[in-house]
Amino acid sequence: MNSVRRILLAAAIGVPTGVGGFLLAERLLGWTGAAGNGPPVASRGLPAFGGPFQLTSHRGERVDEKTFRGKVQLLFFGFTNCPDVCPTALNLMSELLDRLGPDGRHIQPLFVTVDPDRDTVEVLARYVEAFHPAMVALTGSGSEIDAIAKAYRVYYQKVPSSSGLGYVMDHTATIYVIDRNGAFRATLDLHQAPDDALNVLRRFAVPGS
Amino acid sequence: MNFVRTSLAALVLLRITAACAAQPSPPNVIDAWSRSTPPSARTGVVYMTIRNESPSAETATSVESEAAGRAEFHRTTLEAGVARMVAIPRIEIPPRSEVTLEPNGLHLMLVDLRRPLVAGATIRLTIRFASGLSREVDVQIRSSRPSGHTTH
Repeated sequence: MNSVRRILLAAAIGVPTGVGGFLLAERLLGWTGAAGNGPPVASRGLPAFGGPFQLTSHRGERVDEKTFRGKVQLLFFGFTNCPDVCPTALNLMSELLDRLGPDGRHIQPLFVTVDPDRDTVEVLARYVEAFHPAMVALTGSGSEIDAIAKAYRVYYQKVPSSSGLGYVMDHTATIYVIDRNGAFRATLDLHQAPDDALNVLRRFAVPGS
Repeated sequence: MNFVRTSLAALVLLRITAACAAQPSPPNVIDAWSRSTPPSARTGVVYMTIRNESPSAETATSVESEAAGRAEFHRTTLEAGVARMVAIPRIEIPPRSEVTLEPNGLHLMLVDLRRPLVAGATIRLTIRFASGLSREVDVQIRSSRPSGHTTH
């Protein structure tokens, strides 16, 4: 049974399917509304997800995987020249924060660029706060971005484009929900209705819930 | 009196006939909207529905806008959680049907914005079709935040 669980969880994480994946993981692991106080996933002998990283925020501060502990993190990978998917995701994250009202302060939205060549600290600083004042954008060297992408099993690839942009980035476009202890909890899907995403998030947003 | 009535009826009939025989008109564009962009954004996006009411297919081949250096059709695909964006050289609208450009699907990408797109303003586009017809479109810029907040 344990190996079945592992395979199914790996499938749920490896091919994020939004609320479906979340519900599958929830059923298998018994994640409930009390999950926020439960032990981290790794302590159940399940595949590690996430890991150490070092990046630079759009405010020029060095951050690592411990910086945002204590808050529920919404983690999205993208690039600022992305006109469609990335603003859609960042808008959704911002909307969720607003709709959580005062509980929104327990959420830390994070935007990690997969295009560090173009998305410098300066570019990110003039980009991210247009979405939400609480949002933090992160960039780094190519190897630093590689490290966090690997930790979260994020795929990204520079693709030449006939567009005026020269190249675009293919990238995993899933919002990861990381709990206050740094453990992966759920994914939010961009095709998901904001109400569903909000319900997923509410489980983790309120301390002690 | 009767003469006036008959003349009026004839006039109306003439107008209708004229309308039917008129030059084909380009597809209509409905609900064209865009999102406000951050100060450092190089790209913007436009969504819309293009409705072709004519009995023959139409193909949108290019778009120009005062707001950006270039405007290109793209399609986003989301498969196995990975987003990919592919340039679409043209969009065909079959007879008596419509094509919708919407988030996470077909969209018009504005590249090299001349200035940030500001909520509440409009930008003008010209869509050119293979038939030689073109359609001018006013695009409403909405706040990038669905809740309508602005943070500047």
